[in-house]
Order: sequence, then structure tokens, then C-alpha cells
Amino acid sequence: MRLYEFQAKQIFAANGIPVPEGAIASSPDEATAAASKIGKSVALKAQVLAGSRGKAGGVRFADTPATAFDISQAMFGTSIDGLGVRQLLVEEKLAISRELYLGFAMDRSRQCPVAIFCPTGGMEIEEIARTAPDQVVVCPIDSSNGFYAYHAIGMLARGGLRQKQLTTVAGLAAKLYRVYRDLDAELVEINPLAVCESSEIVAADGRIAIDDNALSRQKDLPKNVMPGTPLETEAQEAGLTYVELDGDICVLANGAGLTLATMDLISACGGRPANFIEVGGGAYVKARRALQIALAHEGLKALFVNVFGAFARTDVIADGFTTALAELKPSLPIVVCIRGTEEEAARELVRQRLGIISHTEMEEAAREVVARAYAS
Amino acid sequence: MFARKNDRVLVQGVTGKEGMYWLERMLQYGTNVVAGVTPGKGGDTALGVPVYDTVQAAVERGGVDVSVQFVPPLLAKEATFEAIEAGIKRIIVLADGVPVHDSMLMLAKARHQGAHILGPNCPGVVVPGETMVGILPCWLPHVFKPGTVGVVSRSGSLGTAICYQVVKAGFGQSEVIGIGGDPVVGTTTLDALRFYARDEKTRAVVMVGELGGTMEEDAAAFVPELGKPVIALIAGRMAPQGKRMGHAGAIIQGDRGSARSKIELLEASGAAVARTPDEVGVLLRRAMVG
Repeated sequence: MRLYEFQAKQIFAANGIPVPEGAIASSPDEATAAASKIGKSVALKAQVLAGSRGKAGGVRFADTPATAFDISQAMFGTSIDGLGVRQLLVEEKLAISRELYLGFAMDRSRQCPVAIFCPTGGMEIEEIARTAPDQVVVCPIDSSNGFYAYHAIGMLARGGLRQKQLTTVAGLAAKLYRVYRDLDAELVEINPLAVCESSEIVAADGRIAIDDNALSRQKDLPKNVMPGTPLETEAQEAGLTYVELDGDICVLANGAGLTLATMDLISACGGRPANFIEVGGGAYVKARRALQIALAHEGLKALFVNVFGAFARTDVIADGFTTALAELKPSLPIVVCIRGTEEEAARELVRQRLGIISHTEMEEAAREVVARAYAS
Repeated sequence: MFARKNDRVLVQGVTGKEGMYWLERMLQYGTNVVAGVTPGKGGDTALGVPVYDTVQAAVERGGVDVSVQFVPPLLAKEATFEAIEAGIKRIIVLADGVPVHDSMLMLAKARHQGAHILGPNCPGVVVPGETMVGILPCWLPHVFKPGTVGVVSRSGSLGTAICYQVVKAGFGQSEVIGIGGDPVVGTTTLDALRFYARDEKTRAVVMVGELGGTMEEDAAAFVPELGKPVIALIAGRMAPQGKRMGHAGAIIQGDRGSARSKIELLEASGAAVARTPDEVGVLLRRAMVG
């Protein structure tokens, strides 16, 4: 789950990381009031969970409260990467002399957290990482030990920081690591970390993503709904993995790996997957809700159910989806393929409740669903 | 690698519903389960297996080679710490939903103590005809059969589906290692390839991967050294790119991580890459029989 910039900055401030003075606004009037309170030139920053906000015009500046009204009015209701702008963060405009990059993430190859520093931050950071990787300092962290100011000093000195800047940023880095660890974050990122003309060092932007597996123990965090299509949002709220694509065959499979492979198989057979819904873990008891969402997708031409029961019992899965389909009665060709634990019982359920003979070979089944989807 | 026929196996969380179901399956398959642990149930037995309150007590009673856990995801870290501190060197973490910070801590601690972790979010390991430690349907004869093909998979369901293809093509498995689907896992695809390189029983390797992370890219570099045929299936060719993890993801991972990047590197390294599950069997026959 990602946090909005203003939420990230509230967390930074609470943990001793300086942020610009600012307030959140949901209307031009609130933006004007915030600008008056700040009393100098302000930045108006769209609060959307999109990557390239700056480049998409999601950050604008106003010198007076009156212009803040006009500009915010123009910004509300626009959209960035398809996401509507409903809130603006109104902040003092910083006089920045230098932009740094500082972040913590996990390195899947090294299987540990890493601290990342680049003496040149800002919007072009990825370009720098690609063209001048030597400039980016990546420091692996031993989770069982932690990350302290002395680790940060070593890393930042390699990145070229000296003297007061070195020790100040090192202190911030140690605090940022604690945010990363204590909030179960997958990512915390300050880009840019602004060195102001006043020589103050301030988090000019902030990005935090929380590990979904840890949300149940991070009770104090806001509950943000991640961007998606209306059906994806519905599925998210129901706790289901559901993704929409641009084809016309609906895919229901168990387990992430098999779901991906099933979509590849449909494509290899000349079909186009429309969406997929994963029924792994305890999700098959949610089969009815899952299918209701998946089948609401417009323009579907067929449904492909592919189940391979390893530790999941296929009869339990089949009980879920056959009950749901018998009730929902979609007017679509349905092709079912079942293999694995308790497969005989599962096929019998499908025969009784849906009147369908299940396949046992998924490639054969995929060819049939593609043929029937595009038959008319 | 993770289990051999006579390995002494400990089941943590043995008296729960899942623990009991799979304990029975493991015992039926001939797995040498010597003890179970459930706090507060010390002194009981589960299907004839003695139950202890702590891992330490179980270890002191007679030694343990491998521990497998049936514990909820938020308790996996503690259960793993307990096993590591009791001196167990191979630990299988099945739980799906372990916070990644917990996983990274578990792995750091295991590294310091010379212990190895399989998982989290993995189905465990099968040596067909010998032993099964985990939650794999080892009793299905058309899926698991003794043989010479080493299988390593990130996905439980797809990995099992591919084991079926191996048997359908007329072969069996020397060992099936489910490494788990989490972003951070203790045993990687590369670790499994290194094991299969040394394992005399293994004549070919089937690698089941998927988009995301760089495990397949890391493993591809080892394929020439392996000296045995590698057949790979990478799921997610048609999937949209996953969520991007800020700039940090791009900085650490660069352009790697997509199914295409993995397939290109694997093909360049000499692995045969299947486009569909059935093709795994075809490529395997070609590699083994010619």
C-alpha cells in the first residue's frame, strides 16, 4: 500500500526529519487559506499515487494567496495518469541550492535492505542511475544489526558529501531507516532531499510504500485504496487479486504462478485474456464474489477455469466456483480444466452442477476456450 | 538438498489442523518425522509422534536435521528464530504472508548461524519415493515419480503442474524444490542449480520461474557451468508489468525483472525455454533422449 506525499511527510515530521511548512487542501478556498497562513510563495502539489507527477504538471507555484486560488481551481478536477486530483498539498516554496536522493528499499538479489544515495537527486534520478551508475551509492544492510549514522557517514562520504552536510544527512538517513523498519515499509524515498539556500536540509518530497503482508500489524496507518479500474477497486476492497487486461477471455486459476502461465497459454493459443482472478490461499471461499466481479467485465467472450491442486484441494475449489456459476448463470462458453489433489471429486461436481465435462490437459483446454470464444 | 530419506524432521505447530493433516501425509509417505512442537502441548503425542513445548526440548531429546513450520505468517519469524537458536540448520518456512522485514531478519540471522532457510511462502520439498517435507501432494503418482530430473519452482501450483508434465513426458524427478513466491526467499533458483550441479542423481534441470525479481537472471549466468541441460518455463510473458517500486526499484533492478529479460538471458546462456507447460515435456525429451 502506497502512502500519499502528505502522509509520508507527516510521518517524516513525527520522526524528526524536516519537511516544508504546509497543509492539505480539498478546495480552492482551503488552498488559499493555507497559502495565506504560510505567508510566502507556495508550491501546490497534486496528491495522486502516480510516479511522474512533476513531469505531468502536478506541481505548480503561486506567489500570492489569490493566485493560489486560481491555480488550485485549475488543478482540481484534472487528472494525472488517469487519477483525479482531489487534494493538493500547499507548501512553502523552497529556495533550493542542491537536490539529493536518499532512499531505503529491499534488494531481492541480495535478500536484504539497501540504503541508496545519489548526490544528484530530482526527476532525472533514473536516467542518472542508467547512464552514470557510479554516482549512485548502494549500501546493503544487515537487518539483524540495523543502520546507524556511522553506516550512513561511510555511504554519504563515498557519495561526495563533506563536513556539516555529511553529518546532517547521515542523521536524517538513520532516522529514515527507522521509519522504513518500524513501518514495515518496502520503500521509503526522499527525492529530492533539498539543500536549501539557507543551508537547511529538507525532505521536499516523500514516498512510502508499506508491505501489504504487514498491514494487519501497522494499525496506525491510513487505509489508502490503490488506483485501479472500478472493478479492480471493488476486488481490492473484497481482498481479492484481480487484474484487468484488454482482451476478452476471463481467466480464473489458483496460485499466482499458474494464473500467469494460464494467461500465457491463452495468448500462445491465439486468445486474448480479459482479466484474471486468483483463487489461491483462502480465497476460494470468496469464489462467488470473485466471479461476480470478473464476469462484470464488459465484452467477455468466454470463461476459462484452470485449477491445479497442489496443497489446495481441487474439490474444495470446485465447490466454490461451481456453486457461484450455477447461481450467476453467465451466458458464456465455459471451459474447465482440473488436475491434482481430489481431482475425481472435483470433476464430478463440475459435471453435476454445470453439466460440463472437465479437461485434464490445460493446453487442450486452452485451445478449446479460444476456439469457442471466437466461434461466432 | 533440503531433505534426505533418513533426515530427522521436526514439525513446528504440529497439533493445528494443517499441521495434523500434513503430518499424516508425511508419515504415510515415509518421512522420518521424529518430533513435533506446540507450546503448551508438551508430553502429548500426535499420530504417535512426541510433542514438545519448545524446539530446544525436541532437539535435546534426539537431534533434528530439518524443521518444517505450520505457523501463521506473523509468527514465522519467531518460530524460525527458535529453530535457529536450537541449532537446526535446515528450516522450511511454508507460511504465505510473512512481512518482508521479518523474512530479511530471519535470513540475516540464519546467515550468521550457518542455517539455511527454504521459503517463506513455499510448498517444501519432495524426493519422490523417499521423503516429502512440506505441503506437496507427493502421493499423486502421475505428478511425482522417482527419476533424474531436478525441478525448482517459485510457484506451488505451477511447479506441481510442471512435475505432471515431467512424468507425462516419461521421466521422474530426482528432487522437487519449491523455493517460494515471496520477493525475498532464503533459497534461490541459483542455490538450487548449484545443488543440482553436484547431485549425481540429477541429469537435467527444469526451472519454473515467473516475472519479477532477478532470480532467473542470476541463475542464467550459472547455466553454462552447470553442465546439465536446463529447461525453463517463465510465466508472465503476457502480464502487465508489476507495480513499480518508486525510483529505488529502477535503480536496484535496472531493466531486469520482466519475463522477456529472463527468457533472453536464459536462452543466451544455453537453456531451452518452453513457451507452454506441454512444451516443457517436449524440450525435456529432446534434451534427455535427443
